[in-house]
Amino acid sequence: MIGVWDSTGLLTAAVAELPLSVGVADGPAEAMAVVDGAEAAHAALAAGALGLVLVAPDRMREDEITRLAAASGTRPVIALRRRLRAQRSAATAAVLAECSAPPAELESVLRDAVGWIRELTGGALAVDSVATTDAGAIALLTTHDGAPVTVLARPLSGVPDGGVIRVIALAAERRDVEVDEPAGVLRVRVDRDGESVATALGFESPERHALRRIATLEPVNDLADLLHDTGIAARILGSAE
Amino acid sequence: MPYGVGIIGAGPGVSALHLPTLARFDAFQVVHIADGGSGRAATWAARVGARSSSGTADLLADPAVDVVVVASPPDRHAGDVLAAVAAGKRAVLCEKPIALTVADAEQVIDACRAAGTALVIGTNHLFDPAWTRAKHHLIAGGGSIQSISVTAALAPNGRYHEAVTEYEPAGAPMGRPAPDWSDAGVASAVVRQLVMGLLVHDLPIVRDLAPRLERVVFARPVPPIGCTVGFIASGVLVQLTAVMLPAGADSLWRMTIGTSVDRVEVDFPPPFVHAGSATVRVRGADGRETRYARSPIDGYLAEWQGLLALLDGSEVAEYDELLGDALFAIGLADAAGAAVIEAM
Repeated sequence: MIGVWDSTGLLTAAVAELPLSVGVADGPAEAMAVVDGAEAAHAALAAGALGLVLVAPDRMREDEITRLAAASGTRPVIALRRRLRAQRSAATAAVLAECSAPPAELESVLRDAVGWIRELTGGALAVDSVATTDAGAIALLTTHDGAPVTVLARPLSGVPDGGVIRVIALAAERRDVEVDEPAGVLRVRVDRDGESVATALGFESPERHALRRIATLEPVNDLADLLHDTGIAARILGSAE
Repeated sequence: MPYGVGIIGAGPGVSALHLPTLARFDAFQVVHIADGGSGRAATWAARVGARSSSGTADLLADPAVDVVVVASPPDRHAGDVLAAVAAGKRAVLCEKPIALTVADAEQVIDACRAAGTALVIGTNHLFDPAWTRAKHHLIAGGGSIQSISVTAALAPNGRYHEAVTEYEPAGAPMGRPAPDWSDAGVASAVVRQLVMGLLVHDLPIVRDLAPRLERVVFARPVPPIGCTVGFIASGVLVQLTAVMLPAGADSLWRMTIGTSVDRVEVDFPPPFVHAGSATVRVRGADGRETRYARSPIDGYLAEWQGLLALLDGSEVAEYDELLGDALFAIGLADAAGAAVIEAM
């Protein structure tokens, strides 16, 4: 059993849902520490945490992620990204992506849109062209195998909190992702020859899924992925340093 | 008396599109089909009791032909329309594009206007009743247009031809070989062709929403055959991607319009089929979704209804709009072709 020290209180239910795999720890030492933000993460590592669960990684800056990656070394760091799910990747001819969100949230929503593209296409992306207007940003990316990816990102004022993401990967087997936080929608539709099916995403909460990944001791690449997605999003929105 | 229709061109699209579409109208009767020397016109014409010929002269001299359908290769569209006007025909339905150059487009529109020839361009998505509904929603909704995305992921045409026609054994159309995308000149020319021949379906709608082309941000080929183009028009962000895939999922032809208050998604039916209008789905700012009822009328039928309205005088030809659409498409195609070369 792995001890979990939750400084946020956000994973209490998830701990209860994994009674055989994890248990509550009194402190971060020799435990997986659930933390919010870079400062809390470094403190937990300094206190001897075995690894981290970041509950709001979308709020971390690129430089904070880089420093945390260096500090964590081989200790696993799991990024809890509620708008994103791991996907089986496949070759695609092209990808179209769109996202919109209140201005303060757009960059974090765009990170997750980039994350979906990376998951669907199976590798790192490169920024080819970007243009911005008052309406938002338009960009051309390329996948690791050279397929074009077009991205639109729009800030919307006066709308409820939360983002909307739409990603379509075009191939003989087409995949259509729709994330709509205000509407409470997260779905992936797959179209192939003669059928169109909604992918079962299951009913496990993202929080429980994050803890279960700790319990299964799978290799974790979340910080590198987060850093990649953050860097691409920053370049699209023109906020890269 | 139905209007006599003469069809210039005898490619697979005539059997799969024009003949089945016109068979749904009492007001039109196909009386003459002309090919460019392939001999296919005789086959198609025999099915509907029409005359056939090669070249355009006999068809244009045929007094039974009131309306000319220009379904020849795109580089002959302008010349065929001009010939139909010169022959005194009452109306022309020209497959898109009307012309490949600015000068040709202007000449065609000037000639039609001077002669009073009714002219419809076969941009079926523009005529789709669902688009009319979506446009009313956009106008009534009051939001400013911010983005337009068009996704055309097309399965092989044969799949849809089989839903609307039959071919003799070995008569089915052949697929096109993939171009040599590594050759910048080829890539640029094919992307230009794809803009003028495929993306052109939706450009009149794009122009309706974002009339002033400012600049192309990127344009790239998409293997096996396709392209992606990103541009800014009237401050609106526009991304267009079209790709013809060799197999797999059914065609997806979707236009998404993002405004400051909602998102409107229009899913058009696959090409050639008569399966009713597109579907329109609106996602409001609060996450609420609205679906508009579909119409049994598709864009192909609506094109001919539009032509009929011009012939009976209940509508007037919008020559300036047709010219504006043509110039917008040509300008975008030229800029996209240049962007492909620049990127290579």
